[in-house]
Amino acid sequence: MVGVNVLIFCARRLFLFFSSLIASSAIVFTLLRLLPGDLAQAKLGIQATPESLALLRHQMGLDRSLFSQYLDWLIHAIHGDLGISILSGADVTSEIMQKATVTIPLIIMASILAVLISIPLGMYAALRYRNFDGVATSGFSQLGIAVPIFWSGILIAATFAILWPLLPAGGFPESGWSNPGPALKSMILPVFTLALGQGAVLMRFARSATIDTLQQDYFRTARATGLTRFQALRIHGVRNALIPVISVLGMQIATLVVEAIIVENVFALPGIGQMLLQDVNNRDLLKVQGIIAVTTSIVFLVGFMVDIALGLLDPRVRQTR
Amino acid sequence: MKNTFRRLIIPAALVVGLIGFAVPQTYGASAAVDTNATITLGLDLEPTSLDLTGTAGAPIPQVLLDNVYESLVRINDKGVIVPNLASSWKISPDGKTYTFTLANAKFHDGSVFTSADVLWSYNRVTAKDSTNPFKTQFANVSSVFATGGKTIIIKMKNRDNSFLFNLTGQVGVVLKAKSANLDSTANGTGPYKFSNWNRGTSITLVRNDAYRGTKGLAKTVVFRYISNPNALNNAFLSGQVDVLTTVQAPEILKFFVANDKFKVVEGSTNGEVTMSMNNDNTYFKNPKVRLAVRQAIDHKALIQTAWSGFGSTLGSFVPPTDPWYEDLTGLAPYNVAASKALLADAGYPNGFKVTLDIPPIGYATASSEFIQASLKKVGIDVTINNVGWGEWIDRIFTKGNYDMTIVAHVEPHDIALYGNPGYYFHYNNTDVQGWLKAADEAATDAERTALLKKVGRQLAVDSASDWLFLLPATQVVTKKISGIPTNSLGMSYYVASIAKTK
Repeated sequence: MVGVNVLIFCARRLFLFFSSLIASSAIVFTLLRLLPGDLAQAKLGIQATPESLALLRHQMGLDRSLFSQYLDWLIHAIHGDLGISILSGADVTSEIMQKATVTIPLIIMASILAVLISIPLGMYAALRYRNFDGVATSGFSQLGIAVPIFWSGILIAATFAILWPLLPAGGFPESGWSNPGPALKSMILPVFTLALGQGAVLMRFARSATIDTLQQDYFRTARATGLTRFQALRIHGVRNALIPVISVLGMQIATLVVEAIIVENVFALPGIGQMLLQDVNNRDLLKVQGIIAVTTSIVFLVGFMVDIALGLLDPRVRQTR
Repeated sequence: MKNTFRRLIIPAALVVGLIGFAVPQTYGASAAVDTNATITLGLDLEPTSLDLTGTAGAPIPQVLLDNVYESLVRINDKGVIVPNLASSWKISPDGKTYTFTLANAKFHDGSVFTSADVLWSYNRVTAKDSTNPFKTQFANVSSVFATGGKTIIIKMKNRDNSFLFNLTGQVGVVLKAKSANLDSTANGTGPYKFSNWNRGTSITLVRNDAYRGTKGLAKTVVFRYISNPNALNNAFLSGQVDVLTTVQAPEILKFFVANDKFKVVEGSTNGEVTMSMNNDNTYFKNPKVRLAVRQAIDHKALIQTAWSGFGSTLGSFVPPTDPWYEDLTGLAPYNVAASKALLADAGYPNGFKVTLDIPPIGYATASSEFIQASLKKVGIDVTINNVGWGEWIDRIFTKGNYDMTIVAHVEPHDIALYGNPGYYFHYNNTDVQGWLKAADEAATDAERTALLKKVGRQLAVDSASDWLFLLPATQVVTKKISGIPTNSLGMSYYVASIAKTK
């Protein structure tokens, strides 16, 4: 009956996923319109007459009720059409798709790098937590958390692009991924910067989860069968230690999306984050709405996948009602 | 670092760009100019759209005006209005009829420029359903008509001495009749053709080899947009851009000045960094209090602290490049004792409490603490309140609900803002309003200049606001580059004279 349980579990999570999406889009839509600053004014500037502003608001449909504007947006969004930006005349969906070719690889590569660095290092720091090297490793991770990402980004750019001009200081080739060499090259520093902060956080969790595992009764029993600490950890400990790490990883993806905004800004990468920052400044509400809808779906999707992964990893999670 | 991040948040809606039209200047090398060169300009603010007839914001005319799109007239190197798409013009003695004779020109798509294009473009500005942001500059136009293919006649309701000057700006741009897709493409008559826009990154212009006048020197000019000042500086230092057209963190200039690989070019702007004191406020409605505030601030020290010593002091709302400029800084010299005496005289010997609203832009954040400290010395207790641009436009600019705020006004010839008592300064002087109106309708330039000079002086006498400093146009170039526009007096960044040596 495990199969049915898993199905019910997945269905519940899926329902939660879609209802959170709709709720969040409604909240974002309302909040954006409560902010001071008006799209017509943003387009026409501060010298525009009230008559011109009123005319433009009418032409753009901004004088309709909020609810009918939202419903209109939602129906189109469900069909994959996030509208045309009133400010720039650009198709929002295709712009997001285009910028995603920078942001998605950035986040994926940074997550992989962060996991690759943090889990072995965290476990190492845990195994050696009473020794100098273990404490030092853990101390460095503390430093990684403490240093703000925009500052480490500036330092990394100044060192590896200006002082020693090994890699580009910023930007992304116009040809995009069709020319993978330069594209990858321009991603190295941003990925490293993003992974550094993430890796430091994950490492703290990997370390404490491993230390917890080391103190469990089953671990002592495993040791009693003659396994070394490392063998016991590999065979019996890793799976248990990974549970909190995976839940944290899921939450961290959300912060990764936010930090990508900063990293894209510091390295002048034309990604979703950079675009969002500009659109917020320009009061391009429809586009901001579209970008937030897409990024929240990514975050929810990752949360959904983490839930499923945890369910598969830990039978107790599946049974919680 | 906090400041760096505040500086990122700049609205395109506000005309805060520092770069504009220009006095091209050659400095150094006239060695072999590379006519096949690609020149990359580094800028901070990207346009939101390419439609300069439907969207405000300095970044659009910066790249398109005079380079891609042209108007009937243009401002030349010396600030004089010269022929452009009109080869000559006549103004009737009563100032109410303008007759333009059109030049032989072609649009970038190969079609011939005719009076029909002018008619279409200008009627579009004045049309009932027009949302052209600069529509008010055509408010005095009563009709536009063509006689033959080569003559345009514009009839005015009243004499309007600003009209010809306004025509040099984006309101005067001539589009190909029935142009569409203005948001994403541009078909003009200028020395450069629009090539492509890689949103979020750059706009590329290529030389128009069929241009009727002096052709551009570089084959390709790329406007590269990087909003983070550090990333922009890095792009310049690592050779990705040739010209740093704006320096948002002036403290870095010392480094460029010291490095002989680069050249720092300083020019003038129309950007008066204005600290408005709401003239309707309980305290600030008294001119003595406003003068006390001005005399409490050491403006030279402020420029050192806030803008690393770049920029110059201002005595009124007139930049030194305007014909009606005079040095009025002597009317409110730095004098703490005099300031205290004025406050006591106005009935506030122990000072008072006010709020200074600071929008998120470098010069404002950088000045705010200096002002707070200066005013504390005379007993005025200033609370600094950081506001976003949305709130600034809504509460301060539109509703006029504030005590003090700082913003740079960069529009050319914008002194008339003080003639509108509804404007957020809330300055209301009927003499000034009368002189401004008379200046607009004056029969001669000399008469107009004399009137505007009176206005400038009266604003200083009344301490209508405090003018903290004039923003400098500071740019940095590599040694291979010459001919960049030095000053920033209009809305365009003219690229045809920029050259790169081999």
